[in-house]
Amino acid sequence: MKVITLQRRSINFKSFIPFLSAGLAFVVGAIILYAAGVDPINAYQIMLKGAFGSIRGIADTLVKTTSLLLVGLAVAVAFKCRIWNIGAEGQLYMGALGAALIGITAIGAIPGLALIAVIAVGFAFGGSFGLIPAALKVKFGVNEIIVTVLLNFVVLLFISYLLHGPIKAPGFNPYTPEIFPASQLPIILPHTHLHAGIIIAALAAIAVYILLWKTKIGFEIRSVGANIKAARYAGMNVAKSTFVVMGVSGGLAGVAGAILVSGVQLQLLEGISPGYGFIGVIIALLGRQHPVGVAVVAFFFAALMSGSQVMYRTLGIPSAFADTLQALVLIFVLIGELFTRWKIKTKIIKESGSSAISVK
Amino acid sequence: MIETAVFAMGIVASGVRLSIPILFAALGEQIAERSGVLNLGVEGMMLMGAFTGFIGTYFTGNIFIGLALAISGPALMAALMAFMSVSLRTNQLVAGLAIWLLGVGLTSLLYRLIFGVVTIAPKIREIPPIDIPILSHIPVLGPILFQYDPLVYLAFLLVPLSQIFIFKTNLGLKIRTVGENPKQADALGVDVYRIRYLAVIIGGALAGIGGSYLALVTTGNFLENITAGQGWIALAVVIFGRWKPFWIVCGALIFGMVDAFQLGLQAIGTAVPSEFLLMLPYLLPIAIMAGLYKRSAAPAALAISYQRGER
Repeated sequence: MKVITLQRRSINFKSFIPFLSAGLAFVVGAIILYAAGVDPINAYQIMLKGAFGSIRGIADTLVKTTSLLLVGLAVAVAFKCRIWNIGAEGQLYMGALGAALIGITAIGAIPGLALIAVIAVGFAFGGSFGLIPAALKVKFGVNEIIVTVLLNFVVLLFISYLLHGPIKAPGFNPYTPEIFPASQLPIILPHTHLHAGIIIAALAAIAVYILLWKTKIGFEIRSVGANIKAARYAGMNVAKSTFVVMGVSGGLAGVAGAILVSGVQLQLLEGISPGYGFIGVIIALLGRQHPVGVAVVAFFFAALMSGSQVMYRTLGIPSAFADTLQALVLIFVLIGELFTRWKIKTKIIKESGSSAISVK
Repeated sequence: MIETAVFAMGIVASGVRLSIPILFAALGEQIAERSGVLNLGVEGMMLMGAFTGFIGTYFTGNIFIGLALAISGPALMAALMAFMSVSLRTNQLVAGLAIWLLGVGLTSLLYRLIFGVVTIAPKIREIPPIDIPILSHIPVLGPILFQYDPLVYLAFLLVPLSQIFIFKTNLGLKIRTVGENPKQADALGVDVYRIRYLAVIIGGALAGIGGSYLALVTTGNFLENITAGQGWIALAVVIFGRWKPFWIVCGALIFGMVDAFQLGLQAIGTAVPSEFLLMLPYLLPIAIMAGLYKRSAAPAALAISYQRGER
């Protein structure tokens, strides 16, 4: 009788598989493009050129990297503690709101202080909003996944309300007024849109690394994430970890929102984020909740997004193509993980009975 | 007085309709979770059902082909979910999130590729209510009970049917055993993997019908993210319903009524801004879950993957 067995892989094979899996996602993408009557090779060339072919393209990729790195870090911090924060999108919008409120009022006009306030208030708004699901989880044992997802809708409605009334600029459109120049992030590459936000995002990545791997609370967070029972047994305060993690996670997403206001749009509007918070979930998973991994995936996905924008302008391929590819990359990498952990072997054994998958 | 009564009747009737997508999805998810698989991809599967159901009906003009596609598209996604979470033992939460995001991306991509950028969304003829002779003309009871489309009756029929399926049939017993104690089920000769595949695919198919209701009955067209979180609300309804069909239908109806109520208030006009009324359907599940305070009745092996021969 034929039996499939799985053997543990040697380690060096591991690093290769995710890239192969990601490549397969692009093959599926090519099939979709082909079915839609588009030459996939031409389309991918345009995408690559769009993302890296010009200074403007590279700058745009880096601007998107900024947002994706911050939301990726936000989700990663939470996942590291096994807190499933799917609410980065809402926390991002809260941060954007905080930044806009500073940017259009008196503090936002004070050079120097304004920028610090914009980023800090963005963090505070996003972070405190992240504490709501944390409190519900700790106090009432409510599953944070559903809560964080549903709160995204609540925030979007709240922002929509504010933009149609209390903080609306004069005129017809649901925008806030433009923020004061002192609240705007400086451009660091002349004649492009590349602003100083990328430096903030890089610092945030380093800060997350230090928090998780160089501090006591970071050790506790990782312990709770690895084995909550063992962590409890060791006397660790799970509730404290939950609050810290959700505060930091929401805060980082909030900073992403603040930077979208002060570096990209210069005002708050609906649709300021094209679903960055959800892409952050994929980035955190693919980046294995490590700042370096998250940064690599964020850059890769940013290129995908800016490239697909060019693809939309030249070929009319909808931007949802990038979203689909990102989800496909995640699914293929997850499936590919089987092959990083296990090697499939078939062999004939003489046992009777039902076939089985057994593990050596 | 009469106006209030008419308003209340309207709320009840539209509340029933608004609860249908969630009822289908939650009944399906309940079966998947009973087998020990927490499928977070419900929202994505509902979206896929709305999309494939719409496409099938739009291009063939045949509602039955539409419904068949509304079932098979999401069932295929559910098979992928089962492959990842059951066969490959990918973390169920991660697999579900991936399926959700795939559903969101893929449906809006395919819709745009097929129809391009449109100013007026392509429309199909919605499934009309069945006109039941005599009964539907009874005052008060007629509009509340007997003026719905066939899918409403199917959804409510599924409540006792799924109760019987889960608690009275051999297969239902197997599903429950697999969800409570897969090792024991395995020892008794139940194929744990096969049962979990089956339960997840049934769940996906029902989520698909639920999603398609939005396209085929409620609106007559497909919109990006047309489900607007209803798959997630269905997950909350399963928790509220404690994995029991008769409680799940209550949860779905409460949600539908609140949604209908806030829509009704918007229609007649109140001082409360519409955005705050629109928040109610999202805040309600959170409040309910907080109120249940740790009285969970989840299957013991929920979200735990099973490996044969592992201790």
